[in-house]
Amino acid sequence: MDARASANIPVGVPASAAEHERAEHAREVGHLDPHVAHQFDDAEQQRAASTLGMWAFLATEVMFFGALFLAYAVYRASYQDAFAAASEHLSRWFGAVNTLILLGSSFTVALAVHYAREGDGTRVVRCLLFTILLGTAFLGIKAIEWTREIRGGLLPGATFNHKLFAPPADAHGSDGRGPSEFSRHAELFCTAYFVMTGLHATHMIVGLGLLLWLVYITRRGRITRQYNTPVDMIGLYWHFVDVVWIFLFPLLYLIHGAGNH
Amino acid sequence: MPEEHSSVRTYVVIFAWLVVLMFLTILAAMLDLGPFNLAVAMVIAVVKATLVVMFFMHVKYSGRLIWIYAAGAFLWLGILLTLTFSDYLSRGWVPRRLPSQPTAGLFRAAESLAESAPFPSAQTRSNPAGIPRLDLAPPPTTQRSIGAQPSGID
Repeated sequence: MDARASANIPVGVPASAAEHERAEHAREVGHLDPHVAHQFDDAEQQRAASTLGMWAFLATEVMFFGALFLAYAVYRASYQDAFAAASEHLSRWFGAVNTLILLGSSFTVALAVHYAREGDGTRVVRCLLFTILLGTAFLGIKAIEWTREIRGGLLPGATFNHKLFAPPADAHGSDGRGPSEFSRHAELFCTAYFVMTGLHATHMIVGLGLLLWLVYITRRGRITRQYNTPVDMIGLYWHFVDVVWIFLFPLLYLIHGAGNH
Repeated sequence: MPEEHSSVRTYVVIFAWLVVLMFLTILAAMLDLGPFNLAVAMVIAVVKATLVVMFFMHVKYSGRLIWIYAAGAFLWLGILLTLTFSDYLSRGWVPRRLPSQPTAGLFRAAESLAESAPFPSAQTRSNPAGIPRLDLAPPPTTQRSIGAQPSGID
């Protein structure tokens, strides 16, 4: 029926004999695989449709993070020295370890997809569990980092320690009563840092939940050589989260030293 | 769309490259390349992202439609970044003007002329060539009224 709709055949026009045969065949083929929904001709088409839908979602996610990256880029271009000074307070090594962990988790989830396509359920579960382990390690290190930074007075707002960012000699002097322009700009960097890594961490938490669900359904035997789309799609989501971090790490942690532009 | 997928060995190789590129990024950040620090870091990040998208996300082996969706996502981000930055970077290229002087800074020649010309009054507008009017009595020399008597000449 959907093939007729997409061919703009108006409702009420009787289907030809050839069309009946084709629809019948498609339904029969579909019936062989209980996982193929009735609107698809075969599993391959269903997989393609799922992939396309997932990419459409990832495109919206790219714009979601993209807006934050844009705001960060504009402010960093305007206040380069303050941003560089604020970035010095982040730990590059925690960031590097986190990057390694996330790249590793992308690797293990790609392996999970690979084994799912081969129908090897045991290996799929093992790879998924590794991915979850690495993802949890990432979040743990992030929590340590945030604790360190918030205790160090870097959380924007009432607890922000403006004295950390005494302005350089050539900046417009503060009136001595309030925080200087320079430290306000450094606070802006910290806002960008907490919001962007926080949004990223939220995405990771959601991803971990999805991976746990995947482990559950794989152990129930619902992932086979013919039907492994959930693993594929959640793998795509996880890779996207990794790509976001690939850009976050150099932009937030690796700003070259202040005054060296 | 038939989809081949990579072997385990391909994944291992790509992962190794990703790790190497990551260390390269950190190394480059330790050097002082001036304004190129950001460019180098971003180029490496784009290469890493491309590796992840192509191989881990299987876009390399997918049909054209998925290529278009994947490329489109980043193209739209590119539009956002390009247009916004072309706005910010071109501010200050054209001088700012007050609403009372909408053409300030644009016509320097006309402005310099306007500075040297006398300010137009009602008499000048009605008699721009300054031809004296003999039918009117000349103004008394002691009087210094402001624009009250028509003299014919400003």
